[in-house]
Amino acid sequence: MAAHSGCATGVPRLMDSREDLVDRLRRGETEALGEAYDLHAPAVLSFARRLVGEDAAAHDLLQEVFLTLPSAIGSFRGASTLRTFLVSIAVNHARHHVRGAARRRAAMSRYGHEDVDPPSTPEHHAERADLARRLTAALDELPLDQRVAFVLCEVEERTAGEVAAIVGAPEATVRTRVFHARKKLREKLGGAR
Amino acid sequence: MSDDGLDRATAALREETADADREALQATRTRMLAAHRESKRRRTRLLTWTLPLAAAFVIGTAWAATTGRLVAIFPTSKTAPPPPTAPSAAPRNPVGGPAAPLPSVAPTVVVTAPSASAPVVESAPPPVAATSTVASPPVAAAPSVVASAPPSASIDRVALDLARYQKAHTLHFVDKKYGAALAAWDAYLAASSGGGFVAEARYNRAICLLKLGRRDEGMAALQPFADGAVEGGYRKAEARKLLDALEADASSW
Repeated sequence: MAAHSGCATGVPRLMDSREDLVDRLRRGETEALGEAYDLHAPAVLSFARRLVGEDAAAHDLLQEVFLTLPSAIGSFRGASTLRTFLVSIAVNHARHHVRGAARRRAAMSRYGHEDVDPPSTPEHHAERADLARRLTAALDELPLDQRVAFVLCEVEERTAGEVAAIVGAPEATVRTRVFHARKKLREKLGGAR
Repeated sequence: MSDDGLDRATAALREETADADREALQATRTRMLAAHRESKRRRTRLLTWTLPLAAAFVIGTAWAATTGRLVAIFPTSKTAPPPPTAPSAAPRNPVGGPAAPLPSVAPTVVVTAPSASAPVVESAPPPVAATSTVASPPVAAAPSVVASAPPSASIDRVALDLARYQKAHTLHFVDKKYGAALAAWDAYLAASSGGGFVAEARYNRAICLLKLGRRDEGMAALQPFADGAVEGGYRKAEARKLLDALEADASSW
């Protein structure tokens, strides 16, 4: 996978090959960790925000992923890209972040606090934000494996094969999870209207 | 909701989360790297402390094992009774035979008093092995050491030393064959590699001499103990008491 075009911070050493970066990560070089972050953090953060549905929790998950990377890189065999490997780490660490964020959203909803955009937001942006918020709330009611499969396949538009590699399940299982997730989400979002 | 509605919501979520806040990303990067560096520092500190300690422990244990002190430091059968030994464990020298003089126990101290009464000796020395944590362990521990020892020459030598000690101990405290025990103690001391239980063997040898009525030799052998010249005062008080008793009562031996 190519390096993320919207690299947010630092100046990644793009001349370095992926193998070199992985080798340096294996040697525990802090600089290599920074470079991996610069290359892949935006993509991992996007996934985390889509999965968790809360910025603060997504950043916590992002930090956890990269702190885990030096010890987890030993199990990286190069069958997938480093970014896919990082997303799979995020999936493995997501459970308690998702639960926490879902609990907070449920509490906010109970007490009538709506985390809405400022009124100055243009209307179509406000509508988009509202749709995204409603989908996130519906995702909170899905089992985690279906939620992960839906976010990876539908929101991130990854192939079933790639998702299967990330979650460590057969492709058919991934497709089944997405099918059930879509069905439940249609019901929940339809009922919510 | 229709598929189209779900797709619109999915697209909305995708677009809403597509752009990352650069400042927030940078802040997370700083936090993450700081946490990583701290974790590395903690690991390094831990290694700095634990590696030398572990190395010292391993070296110390190896040294103690080769010199035979490991058994003395960690008695495995402190409460166990002395192991039964075959009565057929014959002494190397005939009972009552002349014991080989030990250079280290050479009677350099002038003994002026006659022997002490037998009961004094009867009551004092045998518990040396029966109750002492120093003298008893090798007897019981010897088989396990021999059984688990790696095939190294030094470990074999330690095991042999312990076997000799066990034999002498049995002849002395179980069989009460003092002549044979004296010979066995002499054999142990002559063959000992220097570590292990030389002090205990010397003390027991002195008791054997007294038991055999060789009062002067026995007292001379005890004198270094009474003077506190053996292993930092090993059995100093007992030896002193025994010598005093021997000097006071010259008729019983």
